[in-house]
Formats: sequence, structure tokens, C-alpha cells
Amino acid sequence: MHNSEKTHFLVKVILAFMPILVVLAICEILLHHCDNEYKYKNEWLSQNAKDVQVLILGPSHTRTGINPSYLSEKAFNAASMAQDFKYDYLIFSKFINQMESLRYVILPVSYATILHSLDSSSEKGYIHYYILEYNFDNQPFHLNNCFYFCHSNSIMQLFQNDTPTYAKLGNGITSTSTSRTQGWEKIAPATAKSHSASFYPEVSNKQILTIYSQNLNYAQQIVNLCEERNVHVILLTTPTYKTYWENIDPKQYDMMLDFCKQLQDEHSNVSYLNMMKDERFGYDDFYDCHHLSVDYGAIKLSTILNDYIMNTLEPQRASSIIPATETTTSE
Amino acid sequence: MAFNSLEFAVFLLIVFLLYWLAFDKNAKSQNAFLLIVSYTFYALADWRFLGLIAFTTLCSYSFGLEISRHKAKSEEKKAKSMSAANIVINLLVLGFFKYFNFFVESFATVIPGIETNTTLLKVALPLGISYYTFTALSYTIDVYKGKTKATKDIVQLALYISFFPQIIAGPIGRSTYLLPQYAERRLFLYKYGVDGLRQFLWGLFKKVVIADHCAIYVQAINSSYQSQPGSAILLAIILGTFQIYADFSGYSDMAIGIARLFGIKIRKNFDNPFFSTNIAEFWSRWHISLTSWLRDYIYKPLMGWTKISIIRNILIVFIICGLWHGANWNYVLWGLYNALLFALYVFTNQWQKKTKKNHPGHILLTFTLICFGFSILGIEQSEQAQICFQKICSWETLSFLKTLFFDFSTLKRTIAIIFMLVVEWIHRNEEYPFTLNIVKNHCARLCIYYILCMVIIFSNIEGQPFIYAQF
Repeated sequence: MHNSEKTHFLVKVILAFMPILVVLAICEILLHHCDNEYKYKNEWLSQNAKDVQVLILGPSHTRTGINPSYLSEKAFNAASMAQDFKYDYLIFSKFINQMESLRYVILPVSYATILHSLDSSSEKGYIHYYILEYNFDNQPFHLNNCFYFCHSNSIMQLFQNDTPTYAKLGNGITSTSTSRTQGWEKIAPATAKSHSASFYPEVSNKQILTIYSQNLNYAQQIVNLCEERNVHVILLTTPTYKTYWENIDPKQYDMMLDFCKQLQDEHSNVSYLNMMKDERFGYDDFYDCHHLSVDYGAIKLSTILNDYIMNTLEPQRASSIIPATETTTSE
Repeated sequence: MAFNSLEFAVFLLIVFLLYWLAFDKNAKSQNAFLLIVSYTFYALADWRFLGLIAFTTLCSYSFGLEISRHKAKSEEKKAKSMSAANIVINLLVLGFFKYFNFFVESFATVIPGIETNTTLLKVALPLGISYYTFTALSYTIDVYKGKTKATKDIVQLALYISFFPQIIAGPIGRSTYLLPQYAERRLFLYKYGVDGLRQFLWGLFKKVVIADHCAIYVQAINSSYQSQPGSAILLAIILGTFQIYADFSGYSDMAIGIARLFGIKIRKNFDNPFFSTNIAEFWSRWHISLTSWLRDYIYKPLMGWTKISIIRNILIVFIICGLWHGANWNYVLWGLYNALLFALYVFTNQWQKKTKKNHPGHILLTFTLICFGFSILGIEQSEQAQICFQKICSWETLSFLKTLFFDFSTLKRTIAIIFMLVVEWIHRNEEYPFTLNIVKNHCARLCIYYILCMVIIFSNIEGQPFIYAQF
């Protein structure tokens, strides 16, 4: 009785689950063939890495905040939603050997991202894209990350229309000044607080320092790879709205400055642009209190960056490069 | 490893097959296997505090035997002091890990001039500590009271304290009910297997389809309340209440279902609380494993019949109930609020009046009071409460009914909530909240299961941890 009930149950369960498994398998196959931003960026970089002169890394701040088409040199925006320093490093190290023309890397360092780790954040639903699309296999194993169907942001693709959310050069295109939520500036204090580690009493100081040093370590590895190849790194703190930066934790802000200072002190190929409180950016330039609008703010920031590269960095680099003939003579 | 993850599904399948096919010889092998599985499950979530569970188990085991030995010799005083020592040790451990930060911070706030060393603060909270401490305490107190016999089988006791479906977020175990089950070999019955899977499916539906989707709305409104109209804030308060319910009762249903798959029966933790006609009824239907624990081990021993002693006991129980949920002044305030409602209910002699069963007006009033109570938990500043209250008091708030039925994403949530309430109402007299006994046709039942599965798959929201696992 006991054993026959077990067999009966197992057979019935297997039969009952079959249709569900079939549906899941079909969903998985369909999702494998769906386009997504990560697949596009991986393929684009695989084919065009050798031509890229400016590479933009980072999270949504640069994804929507920098439009590569406004830069004079050939640029590509490899930033993605919630992408942290670890994934910046993994992407960069994957393609660096193919990037023969690379001259500049734009690496955003923001108040929120110095203490952000995608692996432990509520946005970890993006991790599977890095595993399935970029094929990063050195991740801690999670079965959920091996399948698209386990993730709502993937499965929703089956029901959404094909309107792309990114441009050919990788930048986000949907966060326009007309599509923003009304009253976004009023919630800035709450957003600033939610970006502050002190807002989360359950997170220990040790955990905060661990994430900080891990992020610094990944940033240093990116800078090291750049230094070896004579690539200049521009650390960039993107503009935020007044009601946001007025409500940040000064200690965490100092941590951000220390983060950049340490990279600058240790490496000669690093410059830092802190535009967090930049007054050139007004109400219309923002999509929300810490993201620029793609139709105004992103164009303005991209133009400023281009000027900085062409008028400040390029002359500096030109003067610091010793002509090959001189080097040969001195030897 | 959350119950709503693919990893857990694979884990459960392997454990289920091994349990019934390889470790099914006798109760000892079943218990030993489940204990290893439970410790592995906990270690996968947070291995750092595995030793703490072992310590709690050892304490309960040794104190249980000592209490029993003294009782056998009729040494009542020694047995009492042993029981008290065990309670103190357990509460000290719980107090240190759960309330140290809270008390130090509160102390520093009240006494000016005292600065807290920030590195001293932020003691990490072990997962499920409130649940397994109360489960362990129930055993030794029951041994002292003579309600249960002290077990000499440490594996059995360790499993009782750490059984994996219950350890993270309950229901809180009771020795009188569970230990006898662990003492016997469990036999597989087809009916139990089906019941288990069905409860798991229903719990998953509540968590993924209702709680997680309500959470999106509630979080969005909570983080932008300054720019939201009163109708949206009111809706967030209502959806927030359903979120808490669907999240926690969903977890409980899943835990009950998983336990059933292993032949273990856990009592239901929720019994249609939103259909309560008064606050006392609500608390007898909400988180039953905790409220019955508080009733049996705190309220009853404190028992008094004077008005002052009743007020004192109500206050003590509800403040403990609040603090049990979280080391935060919001929870204390929430406890006080419920104590006030309870005391008002008792002293207006409402409990003596026979209220009409399922009276819609009473149900609505109770639900409103409950919603208001849960909204206290989400308040971070007094200014926030003031702004929200002012906005809710405006005429515009009435338009929330329009949002409820005419905004598509809110309408989906509303339909899901109504479906949940209807299903649970239909099953109100059943052992489980989802048995589908009224659907006689096998194919129709199968269709309902498939529809639920599809809704779960296509509305999957990741990254939403169980709320009650944080307690």
C-alpha cells in the first residue's frame, strides 16, 4: 500500500508537470531568440571592438546620460541598468584585447554606486543577462540565472512590442523629459536617503566597507588594464538635481571623493570630473533626480564631455607623448 | 534559497525522493535525514549562525532533561529555576542579536551626551531567530508544565527546532503537536502528497501574484508619497495590508504544504483574518502560531481579573508582539495601537455582546482599523504620517475607487485579491485554505491548477524576499 501509493503519486506528478515543463521549455527557446540590450551590446562589441575609441561603462546614469553620437571619436555605450564596477570590469576585460583603437574609458563613480553591488542588490534579476549573453562563467552558481524564464524582466519580453529601448551606439533612449513622472523633484530627498548606506540599519559597517573596497578593487583593475595600454580613464560623477544632492549623507559623499582621489593618486592616466552639483544642468535636463533626460541632459553632458576630451585631454596627451623617433634616439 | 525559486524546486525534489526512497526505513533515519537537510538549507541561506541553532538546541535538550529529572524527584523549585534559566539564556541570545542595536540606539537618543560607537552597533540578525527561539522555548516550558515529556533523542529535538520549512519564517512549532509526529515513522499517503503540493501551489500564488505585485505599488507610493494624491496613498495602505497577508500566509501555506509532503502536519497559521468582525477575532485568526504562543506562555500565566491587571496584560502581550516583529519603535507603536483597540473592545464589553456573524459593517470597520495599524509600520518620520494623513483627508481620496477598477495594473491586483478572498472564504471550514473539494470534476480541478501555474509563471517577480523572514 505504502509503496504503491508512492509510485502512483510520482507517476501522476510527473504526468501533471509535463505540460508545465513543455510551456517553460517553449518560453525558454523563444526568449533565447528574443533581442535584448545585453545580447546586442555583446554582439556589437565582439564585431566592432577594434574600432572603439571611447568606451562608456557604468549603470543607468551613463546609459541614459551619455549619447555616444555627440562625441567626436568613435564611442560605444556599454553601460546597463544597475551595472556595478564588477560587471564593468568583466565587460572591459573581455573586450580589452580586441580594442586596439581605444583611447578613453568613461567610468562613472556616483554617490550611490560606490556602495552598490548588483550581486546583493534587489536588482540582481539582471545578472542572468551577463551570464547568458556575455557568457561570464565565473559567477557564483545560481540555477535561476541559467534560464530566462525565471526572470520577470525576460519573460515580459514575450508580451512586449519590439520598440527598442536603446540606440545603435548602446545608449538608452526612453527616458525623455516628456515621459518623466510628475513631481519627480519632490521625491528626491527620499531617493537620496535610499541611496545612503546609513538608511539601512540592517547593513553592517563591515558589509559597507567590503562592498566599497570590492568596488575600488574592480575600478583599480580597470585602470590598471588601461594604464598598460596607454588608455586614459575619465572618472565621472554625473549631474544630480538640487533636491537630491542637498539631502545626501556628507560622509558617503566624502567616501565617493576618496574613491576617486585614491585612483587618481595611484595612477597617472586618471582624471576626475565631478558634475554632481553642476549648475549648468537645470530642471529640463533631468529625467528624475539622479538621471539625465535623453533629449536634453544627455546631449548637454555628452557635449561637455566631448569638449573636455578634445580641448583639455587631447592637447595634454599630445604634449606628454614622446615621439617614437626621440625614444629610439635616446636608446 | 527562497521557496519561490527554481533552486528550491530542485532541492525539494531531490530531498523528497531521497526521503521516501532511501531514508524511509524508520523514524530515526527519517529524522536524521531531515535534520541534515534542514541544517543544509539554513547553511545555504546563512551558514554563520548555524552554531547558534545548535546552541539553542543543546540548551533546550539539556535543560529539558534536567527539568524532567527534577520534576520526577518532585523538586519543583529546582525544576522552576532550571526552566527560568533556560528562558533567560534564550531571551539573552535573542535580545543580543535582535535588540542590541535597537536598545543601544534608543538609550543614546534618550540620554544626551552619550555617543554610540557605530562599530559596536549593527549586530547581524540571524535568520529566523525569533521563530526557532520561540519554538525551542515552547518545548522547555511544556516540559516544565508537564504537557510534554522531555525527549532523550537529540536528533528529534533538533529537527523540531530546525525543520526546514518552518525555520526561516514559521509557523512557530509547538512541542505537544509536533514531537509526537517526529517520534513515529511517517508513512507516505497519496492524499498527503496531493494536499502538500496543492498548499504549496496556493502559497506560491499568493506570494508571487498578489504580495509581490502589491509590493511594487506600495514601494513606489512609499518612496514618493510627497508627490502622490491621497487616493494613491489610501490604495497603497490597503494594498500594503494585503501584501503583508499574502506574503506571510503564502509562506505559511508553502511551509505547511512542504511539511505535508514529508508526512508532517503543521497547523494552519491564518484563518481568514480579514473576515473578522472585531479586533479580538482578528488576533485569533492572524499568525495563529504566534498569538497562541503569546496567549499560552505570557497572557495566561499573567492572568488577572481586575481591570488594571487586564490592561497590564494586554499591554505586555501586544508590546511583546510588536517587538517580536521588529526591533523598531514603529513596531512598539503598532503593538500599543493594537493593545488600545483590544482594551477598548474588552472594556466596552463588546466581547459579551453577541455580534452577528459575518456582519459586513463590522468586517469593514475591523479591516479599516487593521489597515491603519499596518500603515504605522511603513512610516519613517512623523512628518510622513502628517503629510499622508492630510492627503487622505482630502476629497480627492474618494477617487481611489476609480483607480481600483479603472487603472489596468491596479485592476489586475484587485481581481487577484478578490479571487484569493473568495477561494479562502469558500474553504473557511476546511483544514487547508485550498482543497478544491467543491470542484468534483477531476479535469476541471486540473485546469484550475494549470491556470494557477501559468499565472505564477507569467507574473513572476524576482528579488522580493519574504517580509516575515526578516522578523
